[in-house]
Amino acid sequence: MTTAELLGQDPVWLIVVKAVIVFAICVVSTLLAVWTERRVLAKMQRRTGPNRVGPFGLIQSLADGVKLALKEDIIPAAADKVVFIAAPIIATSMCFMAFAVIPMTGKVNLFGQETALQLTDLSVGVLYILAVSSIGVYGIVLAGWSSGSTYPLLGGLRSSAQVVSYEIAMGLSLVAVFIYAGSMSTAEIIGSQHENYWNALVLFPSFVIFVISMVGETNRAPFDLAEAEGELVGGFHTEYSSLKFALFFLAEYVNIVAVSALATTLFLGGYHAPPGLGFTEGWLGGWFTIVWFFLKVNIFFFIFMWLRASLPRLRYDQFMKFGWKVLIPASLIWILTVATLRVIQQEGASRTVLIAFVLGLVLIGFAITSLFERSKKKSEEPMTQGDAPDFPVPSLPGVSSINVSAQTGGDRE
Amino acid sequence: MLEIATPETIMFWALAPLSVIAALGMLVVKKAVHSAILLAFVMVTLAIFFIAQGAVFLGVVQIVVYTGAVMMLFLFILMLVGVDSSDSLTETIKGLRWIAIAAALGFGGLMIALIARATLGRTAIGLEIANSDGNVEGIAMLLFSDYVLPFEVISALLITAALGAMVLAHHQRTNRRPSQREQAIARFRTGSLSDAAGLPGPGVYALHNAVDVPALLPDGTPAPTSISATLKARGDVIESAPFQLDVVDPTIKEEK
Amino acid sequence: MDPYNYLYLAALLFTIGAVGVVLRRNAIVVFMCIELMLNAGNLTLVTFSRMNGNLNGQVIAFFTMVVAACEVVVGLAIIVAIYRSRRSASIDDASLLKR
Repeated sequence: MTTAELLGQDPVWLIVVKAVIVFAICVVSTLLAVWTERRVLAKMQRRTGPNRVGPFGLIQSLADGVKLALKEDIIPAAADKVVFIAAPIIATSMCFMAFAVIPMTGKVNLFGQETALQLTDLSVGVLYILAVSSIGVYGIVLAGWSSGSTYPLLGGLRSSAQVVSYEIAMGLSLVAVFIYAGSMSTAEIIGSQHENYWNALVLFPSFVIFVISMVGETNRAPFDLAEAEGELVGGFHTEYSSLKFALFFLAEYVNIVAVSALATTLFLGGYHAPPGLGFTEGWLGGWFTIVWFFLKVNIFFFIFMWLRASLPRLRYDQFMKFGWKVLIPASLIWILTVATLRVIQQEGASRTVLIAFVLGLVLIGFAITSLFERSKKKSEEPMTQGDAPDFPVPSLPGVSSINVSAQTGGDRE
Repeated sequence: MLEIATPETIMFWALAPLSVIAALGMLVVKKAVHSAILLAFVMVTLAIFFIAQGAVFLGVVQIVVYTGAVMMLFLFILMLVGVDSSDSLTETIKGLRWIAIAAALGFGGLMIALIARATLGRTAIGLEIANSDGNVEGIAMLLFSDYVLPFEVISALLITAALGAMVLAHHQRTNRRPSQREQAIARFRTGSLSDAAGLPGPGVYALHNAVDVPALLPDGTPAPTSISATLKARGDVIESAPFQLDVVDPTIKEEK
Repeated sequence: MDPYNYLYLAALLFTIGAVGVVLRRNAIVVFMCIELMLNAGNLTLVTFSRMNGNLNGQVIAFFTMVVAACEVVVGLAIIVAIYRSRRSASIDDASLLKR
């Protein structure tokens, strides 16, 4: 029986119960995530981190949340009121929705019903997550616009450009997974990984591109240009205070957990145990799989913290250049390779053909890069100076002329 | 006609009026960003209608492509070309509004009457058989068999459009961008040495550290470079005389 | 449910979009109204696909989406280019050829 059929048998009350469970998992994991991040960052920076409220400072983030909610709520006079209030609501509600299609356990028994801890299984589940997260970004962009102030606007502007560019890379990195799994449903992708190898091994380039672009999608360091505190004060949430700010905070962390869960599902075999430990999956009537799931999610969460602690923020133009000139072409070439390999495999070619094909590709890659390096060297040579005309011309590269723009009051840029 | 309301009927009659209201709102709101938000809402409702009609793939793609990419591009451009690119709703051609509304009523009436009269196979067949292998698989099957040529042509169009956009939005640099090293050298060689390491922040050594209070130099005079040019042009700079050294009031006042 | 209702809705949205194109003067809003018209067309295609019981309509709606994306990309680039030279996004201001 497939997961979709299994979930189709759920009575309404069970769906409600599962929705509540998923919601609770999101909120609690956010509280723990904030605490973990602060502690781990502190350890990396040789500090202690929060350790006063509760054992090990565990309920520090809860205390912070209560404090935030009780603070004065300020709406700037220049703000567009309706959009200003709606923005954090959009951002928060959308990131919860992404969890609906993420399978957290295998087949388990919940209140006497055979089911799996997954709200629903769509045939286009992964695309659904992309769609939901792309609506969630509206929260950030609209927050930036509606604040009626310069820095939030710049933050929103950056965020919209960032999302459009990094979503392409993310979507392209998913294509290879779809090709290998033959499906876009999360449960079936996990199933196909269980039968073969984990996608993180088979499709390693896709995995790397996905992890990079998921950091870009969630506005986290080193890609947190939308809220770069050194440049834009607080970016899109500069004008937000009290509960509305808390909602953005919540959205950011739920988003991190959501993309980590998606990465786990697509590349690390989801809730299944690592190879060799398959016997653990039967423990506690199948409920033990949730431990594996959260262990894997935490690996990605740790990567997020690690990046934040060790990498400086990218400059905006470098960030865009990286997305468009490195990630997108790389994933396009990788998709081409994967598709070709897949066809060769399905046509029943021998292993030697496969290896020869891969070696040929590597050779072509080397040839192209060496040619590229050579042409780069050539273009670095200084431009030849032309004859300077004695009449005013628009400034041209390589021609030192009477600078018209300086006379007429500066370059228009 | 009385019939038992299916979930689809309830969904339709809940969302369809909302989408029509949102679309009408698009026409009357002044700010372009509000129009964009309303349009995004209409697109999401249409995506839900697609999914309700058995076009699951198309519904999700509608959200990813339209709400996620196209409307985001619109918002980006709206923010780029000006925050308050609000539109005046006064008409330039006299009577245009009434002519347009009359034409719309006529056109809409004609369309609806046509649909009501047309017999497009009175009962809908439904997509149960077509979607039996899965909606995605069905579309893929058609796309890569009957529609291969259109697919290729469309992809060529997409690449052409991307190139065209690049050409149109391209801004030819006439002179080379100075490198950071060159900028640093220029700062020391051309300008005065006093601001080579950056301009003073506002409010330094003054009584207030607000952005509209000039910083005080070591000799007690205000530093004009510490105030943003925008504030100066707007006339929002606080008179710095009371903050100068010899005029400072030594008596301590109660904070308000 | 009777799929004809979707057709009526699509016709309404299409008409509203057309009125917007005529009435609004901000080039970007005009563009958005065109998008609304295209979307209404897509809804019609999807409904036809359901009525006829095959997926051809959906495939064509898919093509429409791609064409709309192309159109937006080029159109917005043109708007940016116009805005750069005349600091206005109003379609009434882009009338140099008239004189």
